[in-house]
Amino acid sequence: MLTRRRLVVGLTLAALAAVAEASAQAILTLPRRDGSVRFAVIGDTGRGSREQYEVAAQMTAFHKEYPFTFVIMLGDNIYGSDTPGDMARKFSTPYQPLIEAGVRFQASLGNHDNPNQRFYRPFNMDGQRYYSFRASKSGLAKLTDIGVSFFAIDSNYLDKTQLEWLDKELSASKSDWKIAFFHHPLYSSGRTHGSSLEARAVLEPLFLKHGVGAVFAGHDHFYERTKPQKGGIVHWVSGAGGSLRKGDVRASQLTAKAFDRDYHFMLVEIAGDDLFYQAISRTGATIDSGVLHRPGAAVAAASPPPGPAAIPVAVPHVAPTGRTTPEGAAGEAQPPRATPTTTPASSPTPKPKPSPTEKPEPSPTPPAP
Amino acid sequence: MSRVAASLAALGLTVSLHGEPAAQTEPMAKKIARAAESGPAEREALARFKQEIAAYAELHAAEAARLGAKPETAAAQKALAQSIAARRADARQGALLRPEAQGLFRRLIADQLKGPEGLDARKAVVDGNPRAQDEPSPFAPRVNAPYPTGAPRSTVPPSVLVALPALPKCLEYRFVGRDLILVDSVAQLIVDFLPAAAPELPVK
Repeated sequence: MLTRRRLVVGLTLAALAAVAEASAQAILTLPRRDGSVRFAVIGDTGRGSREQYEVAAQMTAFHKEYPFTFVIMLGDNIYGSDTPGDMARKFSTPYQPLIEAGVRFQASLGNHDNPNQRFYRPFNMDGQRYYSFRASKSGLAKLTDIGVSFFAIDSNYLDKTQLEWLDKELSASKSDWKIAFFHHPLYSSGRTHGSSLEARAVLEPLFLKHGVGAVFAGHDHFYERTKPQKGGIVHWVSGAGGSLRKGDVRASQLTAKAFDRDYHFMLVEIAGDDLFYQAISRTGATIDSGVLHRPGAAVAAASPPPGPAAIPVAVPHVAPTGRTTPEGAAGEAQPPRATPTTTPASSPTPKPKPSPTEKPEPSPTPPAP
Repeated sequence: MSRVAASLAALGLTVSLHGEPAAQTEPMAKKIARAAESGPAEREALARFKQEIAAYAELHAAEAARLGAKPETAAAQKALAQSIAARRADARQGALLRPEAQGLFRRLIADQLKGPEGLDARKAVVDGNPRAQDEPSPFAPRVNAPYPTGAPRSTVPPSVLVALPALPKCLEYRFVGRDLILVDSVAQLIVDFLPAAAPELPVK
């Protein structure tokens, strides 16, 4: 009897373990329209922690079904030290499958970033603290069509030179969609930081003047989508790609949707005057999704043709226990000791390639992810 | 209208937008205009400061050219920092922010940070400040020392940046606690600092 019970318990445990190792299933809600601009959004990532790797693994899984061409980074890309080994552990290793798939990363600077990250080639800042680029269905290039324009702003240092540049760049842009991204949120319901009112005082008038359609920021370590603010602009806070402050969102009039229980990233698709968004947690669960019609654009007389229906995505199984990340360099999380169980077997983590800003290290062994 | 207020206006920051008054930016423009009212002694100190930072920019450019390396690599940045520090080995606190200019800087900063109007700016200075309460690795600025690796950078409020004298591209202002520091933006070298440049920073 005892032996039989042990056998049953053993089989049950084995079955549970098998389930734990198997892929879970998530849902991609974006319509995947022909000719759309597709990108991902991450913020406050650069800790080299297990959770950052787990979010990165989810991004890789979703990329297979939704091949976004670039990722915008909302700052605090590298916390603490930034030796070549750190750059690998905190950036190029967790996102290596995406980098190898040709996904381009476009960074902005946070308060924990060494401003010289602007010279780190994989961040594609071209040596500038602030810059703009355009994207179209074919990705990022010197475009012949108007595409979607992106403006990476250095919100740490909004001096006159930068504000004049932004005014000029926004004015010159012919794109219908103008997207601004930077670190300090103009609108946030965070207890720790909240809205950056000084930045809002100088940036928002420019956004209104030039028809910026959506704004992405980080800094507060959670997810928040605001109700439309001045000019109908929706502001996103997406600052939990590798850092988390559980319970930091306080109830606010600003909030349309907030999530501060786990880490996350975002997927975005722009098709015509519509911006579709999906926020996905570290476990692969959808925490928010919907569509934003471009502020100021005429409302379509008829509904646009629907894209393909939502589809399942095989994602890594992750234990649903996101922990709050300690702040500051001393709170830099330890990297996972072994290959995370969440990394799909088909996504090995190859040796990171040194970039021009990285000194070659004597040891060719990359840090264990 | 002062030069700085005019520059804000030129950016469209004080004009009406979509028919609505730009209420948020008007107090900032007023503060900046007030701060820019200087007497002859301060104007002279300001002129001297501009000469000092222009000389520093020349030194930076000369050393960068002499080293020949582009600033893309960490090694090149470190070499530049060492080279500049060597050329300025005798520099002490006050070398650029000279005593006669210090009162002006403190006043320009205080005008942006004091009182209820300055609350948002004070919050910005405290945000990310390496001597903020929750920051585990505070440091004391030192001339010719590198900005510590891994230490966060304070936000410098736009109102303060517009009120203070403009800097060449190779320099930027930052706060460490209440101290204002001048940092080489490529070499990440502290080239001077002004102790207690900001008033007390209550954020409630």
